[in-house]
Amino acid sequence: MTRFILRRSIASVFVIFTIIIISLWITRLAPSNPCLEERQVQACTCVKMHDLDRPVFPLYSPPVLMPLDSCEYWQPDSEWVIIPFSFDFPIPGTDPLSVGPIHYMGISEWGNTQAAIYLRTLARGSLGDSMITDRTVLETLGAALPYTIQLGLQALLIALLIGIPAGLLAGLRQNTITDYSVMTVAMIGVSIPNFVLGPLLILLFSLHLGWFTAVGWYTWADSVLPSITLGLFYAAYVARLTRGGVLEVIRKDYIRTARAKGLSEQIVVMRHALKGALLPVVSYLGPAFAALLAGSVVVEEIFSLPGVGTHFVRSALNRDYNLVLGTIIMYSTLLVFLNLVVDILYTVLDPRVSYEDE
Amino acid sequence: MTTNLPLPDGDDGSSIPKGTDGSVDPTEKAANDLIEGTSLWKDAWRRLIKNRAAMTGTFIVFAMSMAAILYQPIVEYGTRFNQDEQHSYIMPKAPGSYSVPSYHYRLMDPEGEWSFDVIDRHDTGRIDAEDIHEAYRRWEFQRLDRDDNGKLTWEEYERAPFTMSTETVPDCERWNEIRMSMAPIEDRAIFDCDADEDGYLHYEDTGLLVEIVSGGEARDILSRFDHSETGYLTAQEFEGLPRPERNWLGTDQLGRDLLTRLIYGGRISLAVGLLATLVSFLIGVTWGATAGFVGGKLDNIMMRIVDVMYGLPFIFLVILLMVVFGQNIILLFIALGAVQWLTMARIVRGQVISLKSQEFVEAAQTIGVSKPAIIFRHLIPNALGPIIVYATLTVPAVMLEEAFLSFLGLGVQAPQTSWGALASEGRQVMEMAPWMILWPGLALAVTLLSLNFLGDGLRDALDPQLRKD
Repeated sequence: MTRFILRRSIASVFVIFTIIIISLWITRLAPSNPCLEERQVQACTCVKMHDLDRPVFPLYSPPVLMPLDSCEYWQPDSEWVIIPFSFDFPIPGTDPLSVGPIHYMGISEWGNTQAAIYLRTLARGSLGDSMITDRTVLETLGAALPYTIQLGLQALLIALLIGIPAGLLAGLRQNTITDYSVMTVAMIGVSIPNFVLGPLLILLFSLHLGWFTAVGWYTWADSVLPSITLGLFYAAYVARLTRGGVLEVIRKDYIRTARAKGLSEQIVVMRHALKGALLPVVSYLGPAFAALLAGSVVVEEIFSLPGVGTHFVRSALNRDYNLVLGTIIMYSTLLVFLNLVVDILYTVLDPRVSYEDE
Repeated sequence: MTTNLPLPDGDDGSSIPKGTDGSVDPTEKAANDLIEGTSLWKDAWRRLIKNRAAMTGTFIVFAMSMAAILYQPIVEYGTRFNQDEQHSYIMPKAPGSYSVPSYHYRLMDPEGEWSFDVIDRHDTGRIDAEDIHEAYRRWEFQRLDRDDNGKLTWEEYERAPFTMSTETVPDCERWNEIRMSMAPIEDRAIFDCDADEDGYLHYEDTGLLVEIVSGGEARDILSRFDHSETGYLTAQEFEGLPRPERNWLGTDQLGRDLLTRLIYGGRISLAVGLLATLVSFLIGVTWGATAGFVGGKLDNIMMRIVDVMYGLPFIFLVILLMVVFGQNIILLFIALGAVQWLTMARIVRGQVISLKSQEFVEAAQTIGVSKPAIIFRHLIPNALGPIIVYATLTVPAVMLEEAFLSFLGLGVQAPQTSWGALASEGRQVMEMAPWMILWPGLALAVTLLSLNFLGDGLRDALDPQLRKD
């Protein structure tokens, strides 16, 4: 087991490294750069940082971009940063401002150099600074991660709490009206995209009934609608998986034995059948985490939550290279780790699966 | 950890897997005629037909695809609107309202009630600019005058759609003063136009909507349709005016017909679903079949790569790609297809492994058929059942992902649109115009549901062993 974990960890590091390299080059090959939100306007812009003391949406105010000649307050070491237009080729030292932060985070360097700079930063154990806000990437993600994690866990909880009982019910009463209705509802559930469900829930519960706030996350109650939006799809999917698992297990010999022993139906189901029936669900958990994280991008967008997904999309649009890369690294690490956990969990549930002989 | 799927024909020994390469031995054909043998496909077809949910799904998907394919004729003869024709409304129109399907005549005869006689108030037998002007005024007044008593209260005026308050110009002295002073039209300034000061605006008081819109509109209509250049429209020329059409599903904020856009968006959504599935199909089948057939170390490496990629946040790389390389639709197909091939590769590998030890493969090897030829001509056609099932289930998954990207504003870009992009537009005004998110959402949900039912039905039909009952 230890060997398996070790081997997987080494492979994971390799995978994450590959992802970093790919993302690095994708961001660097992109047109535009961090300081040109409007893309292509001024040759040089003046970016004012805003104070960011509140963890509320919007997470950061967009930088105020001004033409250079209106940057009256600029001083080389102030919070104002001058960023050059081009990063495709190095800008020679002829620029009078190059003494200042013109080499801002190295984005005027060649792509290779930039990659090297980034990897060096990583090697020091830092994710670098955000290129738009005045926070470090770690701070930004640290502030956002709890929201995303909580959202994901609550959604997963909803998925399991609704999905497993529904699937059990359908599987145990196969081909009855209960089975058909549960499965039809589940099928409808996996067919409604969360970005349609979310707005409809807002429309109904926030705007018409006024039970929840429509956007933002200030109290726990604000996380209810997002979690439901994110979780219902997986609840439906888990129900389908559980039903399949139950049907596969319920005719096995060991269940017949358990019944023959005279155990009550409840014990047969709960103690014997459930464990086997949940195997497909457990193996789905790995992909489910990935999907939940992806789904949370949309849900955070719909409900304007200050989570990692919001950061990811915005930073990608704003070309905040360091934040994009930081987010990707965090997502990959999280997923690879969770997948490892799921695989280990799988051996615990199903002793037939062993990684020793690999 | 790889799922080994059973043979498509299961353990049903009566049907020997036949290569689907089309050539049927005449003797075999004769034998089939004699004993009425059922092939795998015929059998599957019969099972599929019996599955009511799957057949309904097939029908709906077929109808949607036909609508997408026949987009041009539908637009030309059915909805009469162009998907990207903006009518510059600021308010979305509710389902079932009317508008004239051309930008130039966007306000003309909006409810479809104007006839020659109605516009020609003075029975002169001709419609001049004054008449058209007058018609607009009356139309505006009637729209404002909700209780139809011939006078406007402040409440009625206030409840007027937004277009009114910006494009409406009160035609009286006071208005001119306001306009001169550049002050915003606020509160009850318009009631200064109330000549008899009874608290109501009468038709005579209003002169609503004149200068800006209808003045130009009237001149424009005359210049375009007054072919005889007499300065007025005759009854014959009047017939040539574009008629208003019904917006069955309403319009968006720019006055674009939602039904037309929905069909157009469906075209893109379905195309992306199909093409990205094709991409994933090509990669997955090639990868899986190669791994399964070659086996050994190569298999191990290739499948380990698949295992590793399973755990990756692929969709984030796709988002990054879309953000960075500017929402190119070809890139969208490829990126989405490249995400979806993993499961396909696993399924195909399992199939190929279980097929490759069978006699027909050995026979092919004996007569010296090359390896690629064995894979693509003999193995894959025989593994087609599960492949088709999985491909069918990939289509909704890909469509969902495309919609997801478009919803974030990263997928299909204007002037093109897709259901996801339409839903995204609808979300921004959902309080005011819930139908704008409802229709694309419904279209997407129904299509996905149908495809899922179809996929499930196909699985039950082609893979009886996989059926959980």
